[in-house]
Amino acid sequence: MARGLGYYILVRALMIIPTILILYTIVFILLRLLPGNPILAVVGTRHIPPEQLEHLMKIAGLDKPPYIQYFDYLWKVFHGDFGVTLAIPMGKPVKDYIFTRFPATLELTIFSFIVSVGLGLLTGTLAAIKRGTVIDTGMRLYSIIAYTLFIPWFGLMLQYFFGLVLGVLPTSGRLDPGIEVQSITGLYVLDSILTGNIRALTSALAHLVLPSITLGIVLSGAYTRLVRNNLVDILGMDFIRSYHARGISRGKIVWYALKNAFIPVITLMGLQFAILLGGAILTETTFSWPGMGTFIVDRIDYRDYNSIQGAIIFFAFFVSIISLIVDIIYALLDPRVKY
Amino acid sequence: MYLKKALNMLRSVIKTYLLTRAPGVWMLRVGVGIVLLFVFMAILAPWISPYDPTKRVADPFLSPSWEYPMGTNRIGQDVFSRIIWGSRIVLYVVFFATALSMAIGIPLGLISGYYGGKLDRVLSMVMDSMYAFPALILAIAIAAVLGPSPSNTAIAIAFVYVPTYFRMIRGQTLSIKSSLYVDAARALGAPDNTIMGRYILPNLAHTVLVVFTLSVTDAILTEAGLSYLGLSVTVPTPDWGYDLRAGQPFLLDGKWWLVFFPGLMVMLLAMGFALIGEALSERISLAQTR
Repeated sequence: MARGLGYYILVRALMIIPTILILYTIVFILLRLLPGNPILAVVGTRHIPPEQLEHLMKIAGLDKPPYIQYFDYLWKVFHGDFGVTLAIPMGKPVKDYIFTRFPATLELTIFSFIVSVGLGLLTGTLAAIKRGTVIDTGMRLYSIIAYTLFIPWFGLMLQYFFGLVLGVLPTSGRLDPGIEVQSITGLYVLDSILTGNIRALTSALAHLVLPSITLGIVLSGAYTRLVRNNLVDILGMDFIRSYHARGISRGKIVWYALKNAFIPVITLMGLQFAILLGGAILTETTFSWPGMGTFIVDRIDYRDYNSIQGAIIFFAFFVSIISLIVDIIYALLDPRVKY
Repeated sequence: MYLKKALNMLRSVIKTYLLTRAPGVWMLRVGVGIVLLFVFMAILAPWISPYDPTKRVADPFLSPSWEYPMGTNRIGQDVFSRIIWGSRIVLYVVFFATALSMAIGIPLGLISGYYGGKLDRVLSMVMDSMYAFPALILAIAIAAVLGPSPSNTAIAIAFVYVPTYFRMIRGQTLSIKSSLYVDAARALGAPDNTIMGRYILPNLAHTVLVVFTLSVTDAILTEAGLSYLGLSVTVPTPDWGYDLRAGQPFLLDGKWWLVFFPGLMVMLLAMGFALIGEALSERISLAQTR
């Protein structure tokens, strides 16, 4: 079976194709189940000339039978084309939206991810070191409460406290009005560093604080539990006892144990990523963050199914890539993984 | 007769689960307490709600007072009454959704795990793809297609949680399938249906219970999320997520009660189920290690 890491990565990468195909099929069928003509639903009136309707149907690719639409779209996606918007502004490539919106979501996700893993490691380690004490129980409660926080509520409460009562942090958008960043990657923090724009950097970071804390705390609970349980197991192992016997300091021992407890945490990171993206939709809506989440929600109001379909396939692709990366890291770190 | 039997059963369940000194029982007690509170609130809504939740009863934007414990909203409706009635929607959606996903996920998982083969491979692949995708985003797409109504929200949520049950049941079935008593039953000529229904399914009860409480927790948050995005109920139905969204534009004018109370209820209810799930899964893992 030992055919090397390269083979493993290749097989694992090929597995992405069926995953995306399955999701595309589900979404395609779902969107076609909808009664009525989507164009008429968008235009909002039945009284448009038949030629114009035909023209609009053609732009949207709806003039062909469903099975041809299915393969047509697949072919386009394969070439990086996600179709065109069905609603105002009509006929704009969905790809363009994804290009401008996705970096915003990515930036939010990265910062939330850092917050959640950081908090999870901190609280989990604390609970493990103080096992069986009030602190341990407290951290356990923390993980449950964090998990059950309703994102919009938590985000709005933070807005109320830090934005209104204390008035120290911005509550919506990505930048203060009047500040602009030359877009290179679309990640404002990175772009402002690259262009040496300190004002934009501070503004972008300030705008990131509340949304990423909101999403980060909600997702940290799962890490708390996992880190704690793993660390407790490892701290009870023989090699840790021999460290104690050799007189190695407690701090160092915890550090060694943490390194060992980290492998399952990486697995969880992969699993949590999908939840992170789902949570990002709610966080974006709460903080008027111009990312993929607000894009999807806006497009639902217009009943623009092409955009929704495009966004979902893009998400499917993204999630698959992330889980591929996680699996590769896992295989590299854990010598027991067979590939 | 049946009533007496049911009461006896209830008593033994309470005795074994709630009246023990097992570690973590306090979580179970608090969780059950919270859930029961909301269930009674939903059942007794017509009697305990002080005002009609859909009617204007006072000036808009009154802050909380003895007369209006959670204040009034933009239209002058009593927030407290809307919270009480809102518990009906969320409980209805969540239980309908969970029942539906169990009704689909459990039989599929059982069949897939038991028979194996091509069907199992295809089903597993479809379910894994769905499982790997953000549940909320998929639910949003489905809810958007179906249109806003509590039943449609329940269907959307049910759909995205089918893989959770499928995967768990399939995995357990695979391991139980090869145990000695299943072999014995097969040797005695028991048909597949009997083996699945009588010998495998009852052994899954505990795991189903844990997954049930955890998926209810998720379903509560998903329901609130969908209705926050305007995909669940329509005006003037009282619903926590929807009411929170309606209050959001006024939050930074200092009208905190429009957002604070509905969201707090979502969290409390989700926490009730999370505590139960946490305590039960701990009990099961303890029983397994012994």
